[in-house]
Amino acid sequence: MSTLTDQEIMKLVEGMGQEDVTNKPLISAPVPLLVIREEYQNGSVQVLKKLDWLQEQGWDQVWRARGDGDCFYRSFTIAYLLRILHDAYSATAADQALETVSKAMPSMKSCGFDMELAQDFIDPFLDILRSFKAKDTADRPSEYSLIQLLQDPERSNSIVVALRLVTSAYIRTHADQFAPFLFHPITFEQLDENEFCRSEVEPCGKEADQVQITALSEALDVGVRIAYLDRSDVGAGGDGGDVINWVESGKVGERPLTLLYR
Amino acid sequence: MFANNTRAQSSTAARRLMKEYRDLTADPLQDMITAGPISEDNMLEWEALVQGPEGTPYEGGIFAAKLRFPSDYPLNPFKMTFDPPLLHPNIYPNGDVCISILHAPGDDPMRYETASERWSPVQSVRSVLLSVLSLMHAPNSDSPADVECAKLYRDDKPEFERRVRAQVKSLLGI
Repeated sequence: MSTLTDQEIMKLVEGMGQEDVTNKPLISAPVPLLVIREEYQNGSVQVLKKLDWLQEQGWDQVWRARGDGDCFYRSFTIAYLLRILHDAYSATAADQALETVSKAMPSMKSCGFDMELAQDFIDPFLDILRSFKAKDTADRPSEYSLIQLLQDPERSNSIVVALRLVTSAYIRTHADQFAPFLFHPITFEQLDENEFCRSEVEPCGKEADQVQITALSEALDVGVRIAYLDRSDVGAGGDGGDVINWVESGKVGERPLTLLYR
Repeated sequence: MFANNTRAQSSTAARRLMKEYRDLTADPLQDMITAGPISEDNMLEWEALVQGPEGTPYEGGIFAAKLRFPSDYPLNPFKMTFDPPLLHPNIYPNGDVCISILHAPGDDPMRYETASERWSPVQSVRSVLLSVLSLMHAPNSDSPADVECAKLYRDDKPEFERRVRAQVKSLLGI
């Protein structure tokens, strides 16, 4: 098994409610999956089984995102950027990403966002994507430089906001598709797409659920699958079946981004 | 939320506020509200002057409010405080404006203030001030900040309006 195949990028999203999350980096350097296993050493057998299975399948390291409510968006960002970085034709992959983001812009405008304000958040993301095409290879990003960028609160949070706006615009312009799933996460009150986006998508610190994950995945045309590290029993794996619960969104047939949630 | 990142954000905040100030100056809000930094040295402290909308008991009044921006603005919302305080169901007796659009996502003083619009970084001084104007037209007595005032507004509107007018007069020194 290779240490890390380019497409098999996995991050650990730490749960909320941990003691003082603000001391943790927004995104960590890669951590061996065995370190995560250590934390469950005396815990659930099911969780250990899932971690061992992930390890066997080649997912042997994770990038941890701070559990501040923005972790999905930040995890998505590092996975998305590392995918481009490790692409054999990363300049082309970056061009495709730039094209996809630019396609998302008109719908943001049609949702009534003040585009001058929105652009301030989108530009840092576009700048990173453009940097993959730098003429001088020394100016192109490395894994280290990408992590550094995403640890810088100003740029990191701008990108979170940009992705929240992309997500919001997609939900608002595909209201029919999402309408049956737009609920307040605590009261289960039914919301219309505008209410949902204003209260659950656009504000920073609001956690993403299936609707937001699906919307971002479709808007940026990349599959996402999330491994849920719960205690459920999902079989022995001996029959070739997966020993984990995947929650999948978008085009999962084509090398989805892989995230870990616990 | 971003408590330990405040210093890194403050230049963004100043840049963004400069842009908002420029836009508000170029395109004032129906001449009803003016707002801008108290001193050019500190973009994080603004003063706003709000004219009482016509057809409301606030008509004829001009109300001053302080806007205090966090150093990680616009990730987090600013605070708006009328000074002197204004009699209104959604304004605390100390003058703080209580409106959902000025609440950060995690901050939920009303518990089930469910689907209400929250602060997000694409909101702005302009969008908040417009919400404040509409609140002067139509107070929201379902989630009151000044409970006594909300009760009066609900149970005895003429008396509520009389007190607001009296306050407007005394503020103007008539």
